[in-house]
Amino acid sequence: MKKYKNKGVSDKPSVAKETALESDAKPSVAKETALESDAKPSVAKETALESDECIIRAQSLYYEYSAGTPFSKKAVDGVSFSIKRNRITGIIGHTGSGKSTLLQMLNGLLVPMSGDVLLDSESIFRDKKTLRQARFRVGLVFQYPEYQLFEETVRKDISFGPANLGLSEEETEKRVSFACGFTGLDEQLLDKSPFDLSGGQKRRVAIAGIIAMKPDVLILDEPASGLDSAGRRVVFDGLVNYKNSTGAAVVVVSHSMEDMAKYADEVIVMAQGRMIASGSVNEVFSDRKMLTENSLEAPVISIFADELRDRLAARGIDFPKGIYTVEAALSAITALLGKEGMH
Amino acid sequence: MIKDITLGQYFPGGSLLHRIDPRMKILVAMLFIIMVFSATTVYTLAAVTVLTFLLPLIGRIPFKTVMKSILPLKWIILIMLILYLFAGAKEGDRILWQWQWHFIHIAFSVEGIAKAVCLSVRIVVLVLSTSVILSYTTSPIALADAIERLLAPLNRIKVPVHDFAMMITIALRFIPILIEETDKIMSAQASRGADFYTGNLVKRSKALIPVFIPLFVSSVRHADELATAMECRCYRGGRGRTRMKKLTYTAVDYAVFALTALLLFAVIIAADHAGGFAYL
Repeated sequence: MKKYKNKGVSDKPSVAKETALESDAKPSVAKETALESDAKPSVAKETALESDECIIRAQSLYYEYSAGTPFSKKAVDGVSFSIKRNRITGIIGHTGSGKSTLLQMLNGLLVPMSGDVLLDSESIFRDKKTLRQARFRVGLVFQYPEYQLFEETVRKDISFGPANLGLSEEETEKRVSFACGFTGLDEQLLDKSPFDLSGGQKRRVAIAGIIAMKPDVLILDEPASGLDSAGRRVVFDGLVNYKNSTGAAVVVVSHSMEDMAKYADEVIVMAQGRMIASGSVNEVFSDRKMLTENSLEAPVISIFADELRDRLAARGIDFPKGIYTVEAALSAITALLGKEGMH
Repeated sequence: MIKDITLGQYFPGGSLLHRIDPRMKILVAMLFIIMVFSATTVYTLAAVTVLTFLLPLIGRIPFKTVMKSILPLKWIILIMLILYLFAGAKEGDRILWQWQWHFIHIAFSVEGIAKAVCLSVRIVVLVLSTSVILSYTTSPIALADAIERLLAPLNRIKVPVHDFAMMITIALRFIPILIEETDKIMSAQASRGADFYTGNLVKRSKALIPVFIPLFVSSVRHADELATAMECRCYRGGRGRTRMKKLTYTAVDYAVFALTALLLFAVIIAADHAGGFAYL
């Protein structure tokens, strides 16, 4: 297995990435670098990245399934990163690259065989209390979460988490409508049985069940898989809204590069249990070679944009780099047409 | 967590034990059981014990793994030891210590202790040999297949052998799926703050409701999907059904069977004539 870790993410490694690397090694430096970055304003987005504080940090996590038997399989091997507040962090990787195992270590469901998870610079595995605290502060939505629904009514099911938190009935009720707001659930559905809903609605009920606990870190394992495009949009828009209104960190695993490009602020690339690269959407998606080496592909629109840029360059027309979403492509082309029209 | 429970104990490998025809292995296991029960003297029991402990070596199964299968026997063995230690004394036994109060009579005798130890060894040997021959070195699917083939004669008296075998196969196939599903649902509910491990019995049983309901729903869904998938592939029971993997006996299979039969014969003769303390 090649060791790609943190290597060759882009031709010109940006400040943001280096800071992330440094902060893994010696956490105390992180703050200083953040201050520094204020002094020399670079690209707006990158500065914002650094000045945000990190909420959860993974330190050389290692996990192996069925250790000591012929079935043993390394799932996560020496993965370190930090997740910042008020950001959507995307995790991409081929099937079986260890993403799901990684997520389960972040809220302490799996105990790493070595390494640590720091929540607000405190290990979540220190004792039972910190572990239980982590369960509540780090909300994890599993893949196909609709299969975990069990209550008689949607309302009761969404209340399960808040009730476990020990909230009053009144507060629980508030949390239910709070969660419904972000997941686009009609309050009329609340008294129906969750088993009578459509697949997309069930999915949103399950996500609402976690959001109702108001986690500081909301982690979702492929929240939109198997949903139609309208369903995807509702789910992702809800996540963006949740992030914006609470300042929570949102971590999303997805196979859709389009969704990642559109919604994520930062992207982590996993392959064979290792973290291959991490950085802004721009940094990660601009390294085509690294993506193809790991059976991943940049968003189709960015491949289209690159092709367009090459052809326009041949005619002496400039077309901007770093286009990863349809919206960005649209505005770039419109701008170009406007310019051409002025000639 | 729940994944540590070993239900199917199959330990893949390519040893001689793995390669023997599963039908033959069932027969060999039966001979072995008879052999264990025929070893009624200390010497023969010792011989069978040595033979049994050779099996994991032949099958190349780590000894630690094998010991796991006899660990649950510790309570049975303990209870039996206590029973035999106290009640195993007969007339003429060499009594070491005894105590009598009205009609309650407790006595430790040399013979009683020997009996207790021998019977415990016998149970361990029984479980160890069959689990190494069958569960550790034969995949559950091969085992179900072998059972179907061995019971095939019952078809004549209208016993639906194929259907039973198919049910066993499906049930076995679903065990890992359901374990995984249970694990997933438990994790998902734990993420919502469910707590399965603290509180009294009532509280802990109640905590399992959020696990059982989704598990039940998904089992029914799985069954439904599987039935549809089988029908789509024209499954209609065992009639006229051919197999992709046909089981055929090889010379090795016959040799192993003959060897086991020979050993059984030797043990029966030795138990009758070679002397030694007969514990039964």
